[in-house]
Amino acid sequence: MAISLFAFAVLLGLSFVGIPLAYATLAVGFFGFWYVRGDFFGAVILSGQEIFDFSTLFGLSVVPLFIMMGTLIQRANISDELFEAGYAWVGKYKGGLAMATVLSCAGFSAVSGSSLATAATMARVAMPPMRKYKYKDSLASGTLAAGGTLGIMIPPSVPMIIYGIVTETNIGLMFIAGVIPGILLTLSYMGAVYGSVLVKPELGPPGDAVGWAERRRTLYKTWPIFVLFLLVLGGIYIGVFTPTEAGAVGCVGAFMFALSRGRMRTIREIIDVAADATIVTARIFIIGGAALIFGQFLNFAGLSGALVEFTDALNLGPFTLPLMICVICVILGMIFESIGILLLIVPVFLPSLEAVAGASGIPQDFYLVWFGIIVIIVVELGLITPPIGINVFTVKSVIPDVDLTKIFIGVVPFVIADLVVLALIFVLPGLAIFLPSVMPTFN
Amino acid sequence: MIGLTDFLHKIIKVLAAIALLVMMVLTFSDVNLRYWLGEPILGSNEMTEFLLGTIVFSGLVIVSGERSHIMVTLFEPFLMRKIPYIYRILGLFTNIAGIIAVTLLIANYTRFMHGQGNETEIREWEWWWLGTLLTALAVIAILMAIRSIRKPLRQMGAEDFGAFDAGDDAQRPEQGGQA
Repeated sequence: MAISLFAFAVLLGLSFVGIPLAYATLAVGFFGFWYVRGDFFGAVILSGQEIFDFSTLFGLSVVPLFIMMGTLIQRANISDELFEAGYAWVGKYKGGLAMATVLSCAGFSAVSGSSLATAATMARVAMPPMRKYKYKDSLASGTLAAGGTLGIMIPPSVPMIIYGIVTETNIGLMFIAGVIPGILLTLSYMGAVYGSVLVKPELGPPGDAVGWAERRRTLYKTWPIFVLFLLVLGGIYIGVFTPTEAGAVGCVGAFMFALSRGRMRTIREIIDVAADATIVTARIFIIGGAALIFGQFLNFAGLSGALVEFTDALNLGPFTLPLMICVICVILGMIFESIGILLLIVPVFLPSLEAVAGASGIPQDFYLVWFGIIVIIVVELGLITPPIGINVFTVKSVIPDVDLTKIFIGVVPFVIADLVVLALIFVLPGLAIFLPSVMPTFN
Repeated sequence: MIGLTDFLHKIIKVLAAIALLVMMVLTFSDVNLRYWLGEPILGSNEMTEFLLGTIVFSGLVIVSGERSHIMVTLFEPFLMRKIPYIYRILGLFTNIAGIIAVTLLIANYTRFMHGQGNETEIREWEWWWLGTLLTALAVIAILMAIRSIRKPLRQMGAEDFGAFDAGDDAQRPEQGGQA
């Protein structure tokens, strides 16, 4: 246990001084394994094998496909239509433009697994009209930063795929399980906007009213999003596709959609989009391979076994243990990024979770699905909480004249909304596991 | 060096894109052939695994050249203020040392797989062929990392969001040591 904690401390230290997370993890994992096993050549073979295997794991081929789907959708410039539709339906209310931003972020998230892409894309589209209607920067920018986080909760979501791989949970189940919490988060974010303008009406004045014909017209223009979402999620739900196949089908659909909007018509643009997706994939995979080496070291160091004993000794149950892990993840989420948490922290607690799952009354497969949704919400929180809050920095980079402090103040209501939904899913696991439990292919 | 790596960058970018596009078409075709004709592509999973490895290591070449690995940037402003020179050197050194380590590990494992005669189940493709390709890509990534000392590659997707990459869920990719 002591050597494992020391290794974590070294890993954090190396990461903090600017060493890429992948290489810091690789170094600590490799030397740790060598130290624990006393076998240099064993460590060399194991490390090479883990990196190679992770880079060629069939189940992970879904990652670049969904990343590319998101990139294609982003290039297709659907964001304007989404915001227009959102505005037509809720723009006339106080805080309506911010609510429209949340809705359009949710729409964009339904076809893109990326929170940064969502925040950055919508910031460009939604900020000018919010400024035109004299929205305060704190509410406007806070909404954009928080709305972007929907990108990883509403499926398809890359972090959900990573979680599924790490915990050997069915990725299709994770996607389906994310639907209700995603809708809940969208509603809670709209509630956060409503609450903010209720307390301070000057934060978000109402926009102009829009007639029903215009509402229907703008909604109709967003049909490709609905079609793609239904195609991908529906295909997984009724068992027509595996997640990997859904990724490919979604990619082809997104490609056709981009083509119909005048994009992807040159070889250069196609290569740029695909290469962009491979770069993001490489960044994630190199950390994944290194995390496996680190995980092997921790296994041999006996951390997982020690944690199971620790859980037993403290008499932590199927709900108190996840709560403890959540607290740890919330704290780490403030300094560590999401992939790091999913790849380094979750596997450590996995044996303990599996040990207590039986007492939860939830089938083990669904217990891990439920916990996965909880962890994804916690990771979401980390995207908007200081000091790292990567979505906040993304919005700041797109709108440089907004003060960083204002954005952090602006996200406070959304952090509260996140915590409320987190508590709800904690208390009512059915919110996460109902849809997977009635999934035709799983029954 | 800059000219050579610029040339390699273009080649690798095209290779990465082709690998991903082929994977997309292969999987899409496999689904359709299976559902409509009842004849899936034999060994498509193995082909996907080979393509995935190519995608990851092609991407790694560009990431090494851009110095855009995922990093924890919590103390970056502080360190850049206090020890800018050391911080910058550390970023450059670890970018090169890390990819050299990955290259050696993959090369060694490829040799191991060659010795074991590991092959795929259906197509019976020998895994060391892929290992050799990945090692070659990792060597190019070393060249890219060395080149980045003088002039890092321009970050892809940067034109869309200023300093941030379009598709990365996890993190703001940093120009390590250059911030």
